[in-house]
Amino acid sequence: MSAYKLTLDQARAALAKLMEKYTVIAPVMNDNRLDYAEVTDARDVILDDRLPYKSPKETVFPRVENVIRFLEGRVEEAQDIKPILLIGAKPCDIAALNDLDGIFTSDKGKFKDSFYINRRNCLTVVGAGCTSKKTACFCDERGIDMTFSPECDGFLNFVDGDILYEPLTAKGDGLFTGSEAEPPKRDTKPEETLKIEAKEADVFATMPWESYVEGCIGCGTCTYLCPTCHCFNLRDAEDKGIVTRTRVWDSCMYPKFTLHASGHNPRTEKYQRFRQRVLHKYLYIPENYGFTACSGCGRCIRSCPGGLNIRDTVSDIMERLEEAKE
Amino acid sequence: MMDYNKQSQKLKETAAKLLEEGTVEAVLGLKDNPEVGWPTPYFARTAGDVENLVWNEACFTNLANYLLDMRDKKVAIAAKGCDVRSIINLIVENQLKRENIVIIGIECSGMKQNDSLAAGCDACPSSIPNMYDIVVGADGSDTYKDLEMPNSGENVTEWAKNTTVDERFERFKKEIDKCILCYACRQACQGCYCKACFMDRKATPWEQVDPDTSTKMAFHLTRAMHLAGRCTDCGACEKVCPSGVNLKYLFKGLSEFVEEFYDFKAGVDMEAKPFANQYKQDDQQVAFLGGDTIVGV
Repeated sequence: MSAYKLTLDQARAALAKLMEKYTVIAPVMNDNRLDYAEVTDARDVILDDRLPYKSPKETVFPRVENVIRFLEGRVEEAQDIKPILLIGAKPCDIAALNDLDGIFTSDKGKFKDSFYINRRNCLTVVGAGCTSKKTACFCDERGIDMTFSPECDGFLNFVDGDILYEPLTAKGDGLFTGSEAEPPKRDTKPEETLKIEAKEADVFATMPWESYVEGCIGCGTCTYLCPTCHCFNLRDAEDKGIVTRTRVWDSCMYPKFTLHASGHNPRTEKYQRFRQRVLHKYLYIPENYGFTACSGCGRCIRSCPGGLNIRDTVSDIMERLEEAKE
Repeated sequence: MMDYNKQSQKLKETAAKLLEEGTVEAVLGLKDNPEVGWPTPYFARTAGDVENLVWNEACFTNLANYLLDMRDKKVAIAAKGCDVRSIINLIVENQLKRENIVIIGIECSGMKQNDSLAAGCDACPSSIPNMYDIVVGADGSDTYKDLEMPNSGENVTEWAKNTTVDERFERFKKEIDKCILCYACRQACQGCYCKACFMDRKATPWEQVDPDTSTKMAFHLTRAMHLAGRCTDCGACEKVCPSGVNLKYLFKGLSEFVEEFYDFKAGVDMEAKPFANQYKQDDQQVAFLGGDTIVGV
């Protein structure tokens, strides 16, 4: 497909039109902070080099989602969803969405998640690249090109103050149109260098996990901001005779996450919980699904009050594994 | 005036001495963390480690909480006024032993977070910690200078006096609208050390991670009541909040209420008894009977 060139004003006008059909999610200012949020005015959309504070995973995996409602004598299933258009997703966030797809929809998983699939089918993703690496970003080490991602429906490039829209799938075709132009040349994707290739036994008990978590206060902010963390809990609540079953985010950084009904808890210590978070992304998901579920966005590092650092932790583990080999 | 370089120097020298002499097992302080944007907690365990310690205008983290994980060990802590108030509260509540802690009392005239005054600093009464073993003055010397404290101009007490119940309730709702129930505030709070928080109890209807408004209200209001007379105004809850909830609007009034009616302020006197553990025949009844007095605080 070829690309289309349009001015910023033309793009905003097109976006305003798209808002009639789609719920548009894009980076907008939210209390002095850039967040992916629903757009109410096309002029509010900010497409620059900054990485939004939260990840866009809520578009496909909301913090709270009504799964089913039991009313008197009948059951009401989840409602249909208006098409969602995610604009300005950064390549790291697109990579993370693909990780979630792999977990929730692939044949490799034991279950296909119909609620996720429902939302994902309604979602169109238009990416936008970064021009610089921010502090704590490590997408390059995770093998992600910060300037471009081919794994979305369309991509917005910025050329001399104008926008060059590049449709990549049928879904993305026709969202923005203008004079035809050549798509920009691409750099080659960086090599994925930050990964754990080891057996669980080699890292589980042998790495200095306690030293990595001294600053942890157990707040779980890392899991809430992470674009690939996807653990959830189901709960039923009754109000005035109507029972609603909701799916809500959970966090492996909370002590109660693994509390058994018997009272036993296999992960009572902070280091055990952090170990689970790191190894889930870098060891268990690779074993079960064939990819590492970390996109190197750095949100967990930037927002950690205790200064925990998943990049440094994984790189330290890699060094120790290398030393052990010698 | 503040001289952070001299303060850092004094802190490093003191920490190295304490570790070399074997007086303490660890010195709890902060180390540089450009990725987060401000220094984060660090445990210096050898004299070589102390080079990593830093002290600058972004050292706003309250470190008192970390002492709870090391309560049976002898530890030194680089502490500002707010850390010390929290340590005192934890000693008063029998969580820490005074003899296990060496307080390196660092004079502080307010910290910065993201280029603005850090939460809690404008409510801080003094640049001098309430209790200390080793003095690190504003200029790194052995004497405190008693500096003027910053004022952000945001006077919560005045605001509370000049607003109606409805206005305050609207404000409260606006603030907790932002809350995502991640419990970072609870985790960062020196007073929230319960082994099992009421929010984590099973079999209660408000035990939820479901961030609907009533659950959020139940959490924040109950937590606030649990912290009445125990909150040390350190601002740790606001500093860690990923959603920017201004909790001072909830807590400031409670502290002032306890001070006014029970003559008790948390974090001042190590020998004090917790106000809720005392009974006096002439205790004010307002907390039980309600009425305008409470909301008028």
